[in-house]
Amino acid sequence: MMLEIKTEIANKVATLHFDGFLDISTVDLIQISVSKLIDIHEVNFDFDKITFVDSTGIGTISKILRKLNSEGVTAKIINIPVGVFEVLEILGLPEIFGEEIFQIKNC
Amino acid sequence: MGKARKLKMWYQGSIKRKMTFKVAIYVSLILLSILSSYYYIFHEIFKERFQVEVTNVAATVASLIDGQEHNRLQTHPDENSVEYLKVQGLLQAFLTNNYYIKHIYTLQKLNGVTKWAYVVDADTTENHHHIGDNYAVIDQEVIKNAYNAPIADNDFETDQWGTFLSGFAPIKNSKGQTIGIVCVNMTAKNIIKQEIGLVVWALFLFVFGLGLMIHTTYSAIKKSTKPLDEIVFSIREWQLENKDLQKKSSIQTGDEFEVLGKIVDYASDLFFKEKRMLEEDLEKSKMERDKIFNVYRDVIFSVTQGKFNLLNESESNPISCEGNLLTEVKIAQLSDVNTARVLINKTLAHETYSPEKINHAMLCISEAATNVIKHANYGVMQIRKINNGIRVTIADDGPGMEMDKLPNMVFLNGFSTKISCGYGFGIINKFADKIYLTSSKNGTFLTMDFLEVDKLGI
Repeated sequence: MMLEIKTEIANKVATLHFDGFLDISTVDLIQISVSKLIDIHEVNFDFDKITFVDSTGIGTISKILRKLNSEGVTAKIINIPVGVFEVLEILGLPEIFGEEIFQIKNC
Repeated sequence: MGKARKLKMWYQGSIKRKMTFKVAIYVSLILLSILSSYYYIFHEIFKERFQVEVTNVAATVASLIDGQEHNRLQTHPDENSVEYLKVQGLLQAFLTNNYYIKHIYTLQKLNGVTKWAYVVDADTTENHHHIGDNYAVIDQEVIKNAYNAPIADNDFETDQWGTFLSGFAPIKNSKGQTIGIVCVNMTAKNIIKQEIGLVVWALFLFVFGLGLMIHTTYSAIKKSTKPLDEIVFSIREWQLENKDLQKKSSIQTGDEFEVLGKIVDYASDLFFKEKRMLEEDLEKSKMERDKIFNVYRDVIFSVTQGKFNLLNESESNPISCEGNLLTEVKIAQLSDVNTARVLINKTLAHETYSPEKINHAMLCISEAATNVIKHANYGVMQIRKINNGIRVTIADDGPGMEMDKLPNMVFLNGFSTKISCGYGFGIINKFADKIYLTSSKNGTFLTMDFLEVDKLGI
């Protein structure tokens, strides 16, 4: 299994649970899942079961965050594994979108 | 079929051949018509001579025959009579003395106007004609005329004994009245021999004339089209790019060829000057490129403290061959990126690298393989064991990278900048221990070394 996305919606809050890795072969799946969200105030990306992410994956996440922000939707990335956060940091995502929306997984 | 086409190609291959060929056809037509008319004239002359000869023989014989005696044979036909034997003896004397006479006999006119009969025949064999045998007249007009004066047939006659010409002469009595005709058949062997000789001579003249004509025409055409050859040669040289700029064609014929030669000279000068200029420009820009490449190489090398190495194509070869090849994988489709990652994970885990280091290496491989997918059709990743770690090489057939974008690609990591090209290189530069990069229009060749932790920095 490369990537599986489960979407939960409650009170106009959508939570996308990712399971797998995020690279050039799976980024389309995220785009599709996000595009399916309608009339949502808040989106949480649950990275708990993300095993790997590279710059292509981060690039797509970055694009989605930017799009959601412009639509006035609050977006957060939660349960980020340390190794994954390192990549996010290198590519400067906390700098751009604000550190508060990135929540590192507790060990 | 093939032969005919070859001949056609040979014929169309040069103006000289075409012109010579056409001249040869016209000349042979002219020669043939001249020679055939000559042949006809000679034929007529020969015939006329022959007619005179045969007429003379007939006239001589007729004058020697006694008209009275011959007349008696007509009224008293007796082949054993003295008169008969006398006339026959005379005829036989002519027959034996003249090789060309085949038959000789006398004729008498029967009561009708058009009927003639044999009287005396020189022939004494079984088939010889007897007195009163019917004579088949060939040309009524000639016989009629022969009644008055010696005459020959208009044309040769051919039968089972060969080709003949007949001569006739009147036998007259003492009163000058014609009482019979002497007929002499002369074989045309001699004249045929002469005519064959004539034909052979005509053929010889034809062959000689044609050969001479072809030879002189060819050399004349060759001489007059020599400037054309020169022009063609000079353009060929030009095509082959070994034209000497100092060498000019020296056509001084004063006609169109000279003009053409000058135009070709001018055009080739222009062409070669432009070409040389372009080559110089190319050389210059290549040198500029090399200079820029060297600057980038030095800057990137020192800024990364010797980690990031830009290499020429020639320098990359030893890098790609070092160490032992552990495994190899192709990168052509999206799923190959994961395959490559899994492979490096396994290899490094086997070599007891730390989980963190393995993660970093996987990230680097993921970035490099993604670049192959994005920019090239096909790539190959090799994992090699080198002295102090693992070397990963990735070669692709893409269009190559633009050198001037490289510093941004290497040193600007994030998405904060508008530069959209390859953030992957930032990651590679951060996590690989040593990087070698070669990029040209033939493709990109990237080498990443992941050194064993305990040996790092020693």
